[in-house]
Amino acid sequence: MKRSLALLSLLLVPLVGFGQAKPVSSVDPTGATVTFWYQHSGDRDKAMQAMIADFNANNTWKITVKGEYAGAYDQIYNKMVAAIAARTPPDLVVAYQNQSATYAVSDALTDLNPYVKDAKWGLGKDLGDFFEGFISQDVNAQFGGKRLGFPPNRSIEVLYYNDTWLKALAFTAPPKTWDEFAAMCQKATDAAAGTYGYSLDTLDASHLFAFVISRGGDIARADGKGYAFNTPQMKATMLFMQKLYKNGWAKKVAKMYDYQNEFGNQKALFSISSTSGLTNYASAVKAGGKNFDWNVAPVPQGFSAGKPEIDLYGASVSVPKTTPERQLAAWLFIKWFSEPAQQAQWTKVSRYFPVRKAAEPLIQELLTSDPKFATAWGILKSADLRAEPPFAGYDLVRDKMLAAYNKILDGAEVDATLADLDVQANKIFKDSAP
Amino acid sequence: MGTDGRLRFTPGSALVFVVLFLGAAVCIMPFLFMVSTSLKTLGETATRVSPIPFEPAFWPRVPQFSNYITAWTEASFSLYLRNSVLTAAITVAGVLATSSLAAYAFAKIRFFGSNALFAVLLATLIIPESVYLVPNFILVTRLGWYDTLAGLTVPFMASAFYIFLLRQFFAQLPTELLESARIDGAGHMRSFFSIVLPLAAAPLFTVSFLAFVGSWNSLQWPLVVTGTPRWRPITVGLTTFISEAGPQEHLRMAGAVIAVAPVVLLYFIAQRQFTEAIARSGIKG
Amino acid sequence: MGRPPMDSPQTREATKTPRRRLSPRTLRDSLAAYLFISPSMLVVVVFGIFPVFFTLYVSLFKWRPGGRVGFLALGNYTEIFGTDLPHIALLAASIAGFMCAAFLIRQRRARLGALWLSFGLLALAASLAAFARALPFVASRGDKEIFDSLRITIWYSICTVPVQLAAGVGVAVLLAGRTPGKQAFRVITLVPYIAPTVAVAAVFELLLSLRPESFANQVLRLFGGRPLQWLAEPKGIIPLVFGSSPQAAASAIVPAYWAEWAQGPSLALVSIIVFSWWVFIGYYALIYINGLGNIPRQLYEAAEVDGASRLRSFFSITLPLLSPTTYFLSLLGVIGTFKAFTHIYVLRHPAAAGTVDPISISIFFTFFRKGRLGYASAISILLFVIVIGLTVLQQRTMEKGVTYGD
Repeated sequence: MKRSLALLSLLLVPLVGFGQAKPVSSVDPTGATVTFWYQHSGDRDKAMQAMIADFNANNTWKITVKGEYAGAYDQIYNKMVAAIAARTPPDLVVAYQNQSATYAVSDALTDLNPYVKDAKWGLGKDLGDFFEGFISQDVNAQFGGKRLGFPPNRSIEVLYYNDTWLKALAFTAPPKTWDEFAAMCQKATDAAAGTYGYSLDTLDASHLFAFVISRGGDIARADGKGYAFNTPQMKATMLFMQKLYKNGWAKKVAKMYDYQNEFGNQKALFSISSTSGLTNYASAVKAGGKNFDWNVAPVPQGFSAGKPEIDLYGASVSVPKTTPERQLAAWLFIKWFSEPAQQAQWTKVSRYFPVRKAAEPLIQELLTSDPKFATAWGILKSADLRAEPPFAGYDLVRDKMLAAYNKILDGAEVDATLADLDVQANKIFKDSAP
Repeated sequence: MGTDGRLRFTPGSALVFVVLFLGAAVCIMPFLFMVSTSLKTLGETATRVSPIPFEPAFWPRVPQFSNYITAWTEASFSLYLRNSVLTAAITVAGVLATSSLAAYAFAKIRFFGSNALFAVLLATLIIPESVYLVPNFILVTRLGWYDTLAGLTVPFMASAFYIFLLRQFFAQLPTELLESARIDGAGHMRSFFSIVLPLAAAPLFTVSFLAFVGSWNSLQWPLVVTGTPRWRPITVGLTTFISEAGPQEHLRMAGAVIAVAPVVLLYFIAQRQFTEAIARSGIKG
Repeated sequence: MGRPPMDSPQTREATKTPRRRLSPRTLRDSLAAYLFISPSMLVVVVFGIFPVFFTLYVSLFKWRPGGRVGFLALGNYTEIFGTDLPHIALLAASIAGFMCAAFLIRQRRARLGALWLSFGLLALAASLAAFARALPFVASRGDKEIFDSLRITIWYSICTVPVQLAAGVGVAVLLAGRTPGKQAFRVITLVPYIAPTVAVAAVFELLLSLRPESFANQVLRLFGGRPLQWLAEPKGIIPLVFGSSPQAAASAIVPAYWAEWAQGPSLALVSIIVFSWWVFIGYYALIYINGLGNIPRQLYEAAEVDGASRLRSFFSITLPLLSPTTYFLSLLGVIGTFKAFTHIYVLRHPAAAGTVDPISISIFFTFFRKGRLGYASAISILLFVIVIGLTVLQQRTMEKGVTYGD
């Protein structure tokens, strides 16, 4: 009976229209249910479920959140395309800024500014407590300054290195520049033993962005009206990786996230990926059976001086347009999640970074007990944080970036491939624009 | 060929046996690999490998049957299996009901427009599935069937193919049976249920088998129509099985075994019916 | 929705036997009939017929996930084919030319047969030249990805169907004889076909992974080869096997677009083709075994009496009399390659994605990732037209070659 009422209301939604002009203050979220699609899997999935259960049990409005592992970011993106087309999106979903931009082109997202600023339900003074770079990321100029998402956590791209092995190779510190990185990879390569320097991930285009910014470049055009791939920094990145791959100092991963296993099995000296994988790397090292010293360091840079340019990760969450009650309920959940106590709790179980300064004192214990996390935290504080372009359609450009990367690694001519990529990417930019 | 059209036992036939044996080995090998990987630990899937089933490295050091428990509970394969079974069962029920009725009518009742309608039905057989993807998606979701059992089953509850198969069979039934029933005053419904259906056990089995396998195997449609694990079938579950904790190949293979075992088991039990069904129809679906 | 072949040997049988129906009995019969057919007709019309028209409708719009955004008329189609009208016209003319040539050549048995035949051959040559000239232009001005996926579909067809047919016949002949364990072999060869595709494809994804320790690479190592990238290898098989790239040499003679064909299917596509062989050969063999069973033994006996060798009787008796089965299987096979989805979805690796995506996958991702519903509809209409054309072509040409026993 309830099911058919729910279905009936779904049918009515298109009639009534998405997103009401009802002021946020007057909405009553009592008893609402919220479906939440996220990408956390395995232990992190369990941890998130525990926090959700906590919210469900203790929130004063009897809101029930149902969290679901909906696949990796890419799969969630594909599913959202279908769900939006089906007019049945979840009530809360993880989304990078470019993904929320794509959803916003279909007018599927709620602007969170009214919620943030609302007298009754908003953040009030707490707004100032958020790390500026994090909270402003989701305000999208392409959509008239709408706030298309909200940060539940953040992470950064770092270099994972096997310290025991490094020292055995007579190096004292992790590489600061790409030249040092190449030299260390070369020394670590032993064809007979099957070991090599860098576990090359060709399945995630974000690494290319991290490499380009480390050389002082960008993939978005300076005027923000498209992409620029045919740049000296991208060319240098491609040539560098092509050299490493051809010489056997870097080997491609077979599947997504396999670099964790390669690192843990001591096949690869280095891996470059997100700090959100800290717990997974720890498990991989344990599963590999040989306990060795390892840590994280800033991604090697093109210059030896100055602040390192580091790729900022950790998607935000967006609230699709559903009903005013469910939208508000979703907002109340994120707001609760962003409170210092929850942020500290989440950081402890996931090793994601908190998004508010008030959470810092609460994670001191973690910083002392987990040196790797402390190192990562230090990198976060001292780096120049950069995020990938928030352009609609960027997910499709990422596919093209990977195709070009693989072609070049296999020997294609760099200039021609990058020129072609540039053309394709800008076509996608035009096709996907609002 | 000898006089009876069969091979006599010669050195040539020894060669034939060897060839067939190698062929059978090639058929079986991937299944052995599936089982052995599903029983390894994650580390072993990368480090303890061998191409030869006779080498110990092909098999785990200690079989990790717990992988199946993990796949069943934590990776939700029990839910996916339940969904696949439910979806397939409902689809088969729908197919049997609608197709047998329609086949009877086309085969045994002379009615206005039957030829034209049947021709239209046949025409749908050529249309490639991709043509249906977008419009059916829009249609089904507008009906509110996104992420529901209805969306997964209703579009498949009738197909010209099954009607065609059954009609072929019904047409061959002697009309005298039905005529005598009519003289006794039985309407079409009565004739259908008490005379025709009982005789049609074999083709009905064929249709159920084909519809079941077709539904069990379907990936493209459930992929777009389900968003949450609620009604996700095992095919989609197997493909979305990517974890941020690295590729869990041992669990994925355990899931694969869970998906394959029921069908293969059924096949070995009911070989004859399977092969007859496939041979009679020409397609798995 | 199970889509079978248009025709099978069984179909012919059914349509040949006169169907006897009950003597007609008033309006009540028709009403009862409509009642009986209504549930299935409802589903078929709503989900099987209406969608074809609806997809045509959708293809005329820019249709995003949020809904219809704008009327494009033929905009999506010009994106597929480009706006180079002269070459598009030339391409269309060449296709019309092929149809004319086919028609003319069929008239060769009629009066003035030689004349029709020579005109037909002339038309064929002219059409081939026009096609060869026009296609590169249309492919480069239009959506190269679509034309690539058409090429991939053709490679996939050419490399799977004939091999599966030949191997199927071979295995069927081997299994028809008196061999110990024949029944067991028959059962085993069908297992790859009946096992759920997603699961076995997931296994092959592991067997053919690019890791040095993957099964395929270990086997290669046993034979002294270096590890390959298999499913992740976008390079063509011909340069890989023969070392040098024929594309450069070929582009000296033909336009670059046609020279790409000289690369052959990519290794990733070849891996998928091999998977297809593994799955289907047993199934083809099963159908052929059934067909073999229909060949009367007397024919073989008569041949042996006439002194024909085993091989000779295979080619002059077995193969011709299996032609209905061959026709049926080849139709099934070719249509099947246009429908292929599940195993390709599982086996495709991002590194080689552009070289293994047949048209069905292109349509899927245009919808499910790019969110371009209108464009996806336009591509599927193109696919629809091609499949209709192929079905008609296959019906016309192979029907002539099919021999029926007495």
